Amino acid sequence: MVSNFEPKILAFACNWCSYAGADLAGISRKQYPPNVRIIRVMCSGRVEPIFVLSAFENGADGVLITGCHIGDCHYKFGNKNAEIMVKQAKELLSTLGISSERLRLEWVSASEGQRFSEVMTDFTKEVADMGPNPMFAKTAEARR
Amino acid sequence: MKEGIKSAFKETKAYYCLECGKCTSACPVSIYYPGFSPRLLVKKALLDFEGDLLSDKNIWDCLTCNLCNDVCMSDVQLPEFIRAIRAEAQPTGNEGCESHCGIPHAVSRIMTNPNLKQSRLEWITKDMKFSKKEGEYLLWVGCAPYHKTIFPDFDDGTDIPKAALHLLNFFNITPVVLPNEKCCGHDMLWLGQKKTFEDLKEQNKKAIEDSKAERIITACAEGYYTLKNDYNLETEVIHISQFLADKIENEETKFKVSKKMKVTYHDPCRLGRFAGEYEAPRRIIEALPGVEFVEMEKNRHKSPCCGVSAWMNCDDFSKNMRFKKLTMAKDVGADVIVTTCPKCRIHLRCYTTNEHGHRGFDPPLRKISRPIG
Repeated sequence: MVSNFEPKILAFACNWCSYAGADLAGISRKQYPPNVRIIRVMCSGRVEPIFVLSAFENGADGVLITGCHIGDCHYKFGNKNAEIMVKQAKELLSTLGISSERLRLEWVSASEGQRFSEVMTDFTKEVADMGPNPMFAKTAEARR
Repeated sequence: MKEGIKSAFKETKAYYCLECGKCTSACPVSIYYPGFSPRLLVKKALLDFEGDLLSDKNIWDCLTCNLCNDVCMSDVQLPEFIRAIRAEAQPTGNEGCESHCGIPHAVSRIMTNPNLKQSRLEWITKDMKFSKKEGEYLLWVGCAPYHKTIFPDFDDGTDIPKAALHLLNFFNITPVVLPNEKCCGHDMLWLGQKKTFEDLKEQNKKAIEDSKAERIITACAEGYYTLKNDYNLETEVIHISQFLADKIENEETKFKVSKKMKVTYHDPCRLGRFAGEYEAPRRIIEALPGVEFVEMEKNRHKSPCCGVSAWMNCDDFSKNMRFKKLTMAKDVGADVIVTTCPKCRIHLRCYTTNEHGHRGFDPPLRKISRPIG
């Protein structure tokens, strides 16, 4: 039942590292699942808990936030802010009854096209195993 | 004129408006932002420039603190009137500016989903007695478990239900704490999002009926007012301060002698002007040994608002209001400000801890928490 479930995943990629990483993955023809929808943000620190909550509210099954490695941030400490934000968002999600595993923070630099595709594949698989977003569990079953 | 506004005119007696302008002179928003006038809003609605009224951004500036109703000679219930206009304006795309990035609002909206099973009882420690299913008393926790996450810097919201549960246990009461209690919907109602409110209300009502509780005790002023007035429950709703005041007077209670301090009380608008409960919290504070109770210059029905309602429009004006409130407390030499509304506490604390705030004074703020031991 779970095997044919295609999760919807929203990924936020920072302009300077992860989005370039995604580009590199494309240029070097690395394959990753088409379940991921990427939104480019200027910095992972720009992502706020409300973005994550809105994503789940509107039917995302998983949210992935990617940014530069710690110390590499284009804006010096944007990714540190992202870390704090993700901790807060995870707490909110688990209190609300949405598994905090559905939100993940990963560091992908511009040179890591391979890693980008690996992260995407891995997360998609993990979310597919978890099943649909509990808020839309019934509609997801009907869709199948 | 839209039906919703038409019926609001009848219900809130806005037809009787004399245009005397007393509301505007009493309004805490108008003092700092002269562009806002409650009187003009009623006039605009009466003159029936419909599009004009519904696209007016000023309807979101109202704090719904009810100070206007307090001075109104015709007893126009302006907050309710504004609420009705907001409910009409919301679908047209005229929305208020949600503060804290709209997290509290999103949390409320997500909670309307019946499939979600929250894990909101993590604040309960092992020494507390409570039941998850049925009982005579029900402790309404409200949004406290979320405040801890949303305001990690200065407010551990869960200390309020913790203290309330301790106190109930102290009086040999084992209350029901609902494991999947939803937001009471106060903010959604006052933001004009009626559908969300109705969804939350239905689910909460069912949960309350299933628990077979006869009395609901809440430690939140907004929750108290909403459950009491907008839910049409058959169950009796009591604020924890009322419950404690009665217990202290009717039963022998021994207090630990605490250190001497001067305490003042901030009346939240929902418990004070809306629900009319001014005395119960004061009775508790006065009963405490070693505590000297002082009143602020403006108290009871004249108590100014903390500056924000429904997590909306937190700006310079509301900061000014908080500054005024805290100065008032400082002027009477209070060490501690006690309030019965968790949100008032957050707003006042935010001002004292925020770097943009006035650093010169910090009266430690405390809700009524575990005064009996």
